[in-house]
Amino acid sequence: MTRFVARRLTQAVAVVLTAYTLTFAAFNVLPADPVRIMMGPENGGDEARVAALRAEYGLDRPAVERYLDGLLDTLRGDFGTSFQTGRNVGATIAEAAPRTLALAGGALLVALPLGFLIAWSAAHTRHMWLRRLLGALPGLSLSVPTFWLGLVLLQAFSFGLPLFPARAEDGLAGLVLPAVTLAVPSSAFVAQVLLERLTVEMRQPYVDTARAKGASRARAVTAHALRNAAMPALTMIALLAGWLVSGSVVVETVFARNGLGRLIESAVTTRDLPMLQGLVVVATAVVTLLTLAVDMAHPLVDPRLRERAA
Amino acid sequence: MTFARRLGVVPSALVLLAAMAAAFAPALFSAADPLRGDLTERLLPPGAAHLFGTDELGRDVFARVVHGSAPSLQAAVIAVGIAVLAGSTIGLVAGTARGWLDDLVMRGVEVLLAVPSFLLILVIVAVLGPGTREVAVAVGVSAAAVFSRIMRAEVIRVRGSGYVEAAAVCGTGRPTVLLTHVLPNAAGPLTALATLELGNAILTVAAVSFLGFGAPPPAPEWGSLIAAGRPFLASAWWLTTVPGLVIVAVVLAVNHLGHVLRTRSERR
Repeated sequence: MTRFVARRLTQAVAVVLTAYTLTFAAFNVLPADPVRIMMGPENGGDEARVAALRAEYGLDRPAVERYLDGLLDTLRGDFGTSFQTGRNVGATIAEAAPRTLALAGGALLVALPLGFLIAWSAAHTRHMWLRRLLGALPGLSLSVPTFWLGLVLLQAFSFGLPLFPARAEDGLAGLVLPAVTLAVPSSAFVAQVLLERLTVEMRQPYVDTARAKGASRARAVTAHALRNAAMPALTMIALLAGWLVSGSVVVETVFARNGLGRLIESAVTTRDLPMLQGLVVVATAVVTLLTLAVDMAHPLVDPRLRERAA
Repeated sequence: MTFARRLGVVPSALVLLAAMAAAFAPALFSAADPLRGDLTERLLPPGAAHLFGTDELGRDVFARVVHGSAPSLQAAVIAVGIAVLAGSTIGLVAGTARGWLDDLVMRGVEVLLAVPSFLLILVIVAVLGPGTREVAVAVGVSAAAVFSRIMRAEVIRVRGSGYVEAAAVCGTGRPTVLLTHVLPNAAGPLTALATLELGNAILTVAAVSFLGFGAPPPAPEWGSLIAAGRPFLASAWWLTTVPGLVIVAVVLAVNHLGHVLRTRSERR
């Protein structure tokens, strides 16, 4: 087991370092040039400014040298200095993270029970129309642009019925609408994966056996099918985390909340390459570590894997 | 497939047909100029003269949505095209070569999948600069990884089947086997995935354009159209709500057809 963990950890580190390398290559390898990317296509002609900027940010050193330095610094957890603000990238990310974590946490608080409920009810019900209706819900929610959903909610519950503030940075009231916006597609995601697995499991013979021995349909779903469906559903947690990071960009822009999403958006607008690189490394590390954690958790859910490991 | 589902294909196809017609021949739908407006007709709610109302410069929103369908849908189609071509080539190479090349390529794909997709798209946009075509490339690259996985799995699955062995025994060369056996078998799942990905691409392109990284302002694009209505959320609801409903309708139609295709390819 320890050897397995060690190997997977090494792999995770390799994935994160490759992500770093790929972004470095995207920003530095021909025809890309960090200074020209920074200045944008519209004002790239000024050679004197290009040279000045290059010297200012230390970009006149050879790319290989900068890459190796950056790699070592990244391994130490130092992501360099933002081109835009001149502040430490790691500190800026750490500062923005709690707001996005609150948003993602709020979204999950709504999405997980909701998605679970939809999948469970669809698997449990014997009314074909209800099952079809519930089964169609996730597809419907995933066809709605998240930014538009946010605007519509804002329109309805902030301007129409003044229930929630349109622009509240802090407090629970300001968190409700953004969290719900992010929760709608997330819950659809959860419901879709879980329902697909549950539908397969409900056709298995062990469900018939449980029913024949007198278990209610609800018990057959909850205690038997759900346990087997849970593991594949767990696998999507890492995917969901990546999705929440992606979704936060749009949601934080719509609701004017500061956080990681806003940081990503402004780093792209101002072409702040060190910031973008730091954000890619951190986001990839989070997704990779979550994938690892989920793989580790599999034996806890599935006793068969426990036996094999022992 | 249930009867109801088959019935749903007709409206979906109609919506898609209308969207495509709007992209190729916008004049068919709206004679109004999407860029020039009449200032005396500012912020009119939807009505008989202006189906979707008018914006703050008196421009007809319906005309803007119709003219916006060309860049928005084009970008999505190009993105899926890039994803299918690049992804299936990578998958084909990895699945056929096996060994170290396969390992290397698939590790690279794994990394691409570990970066949150929207972040990856925005990083590419930061490098390429804003614009409809740039956004299409970015969305395409980020979606390629999934296609390469499917293609590789198909190649490996088909390679193990009896008829490929039989073809090899008969002396058929590797390229011929790939072309006549592997590709046709992979076509079903790939088309289904491409259709589902198209719906996703429309949403993603709209989101990137909403953030302001698409075509520059006066040009109508579905995402930027909605973004432009943001200051009028409290007074002119139609500026944001109505174009969004159009996106929802098109994506629903595409996704529905994608699901039908997927069910069909899975049943085979």
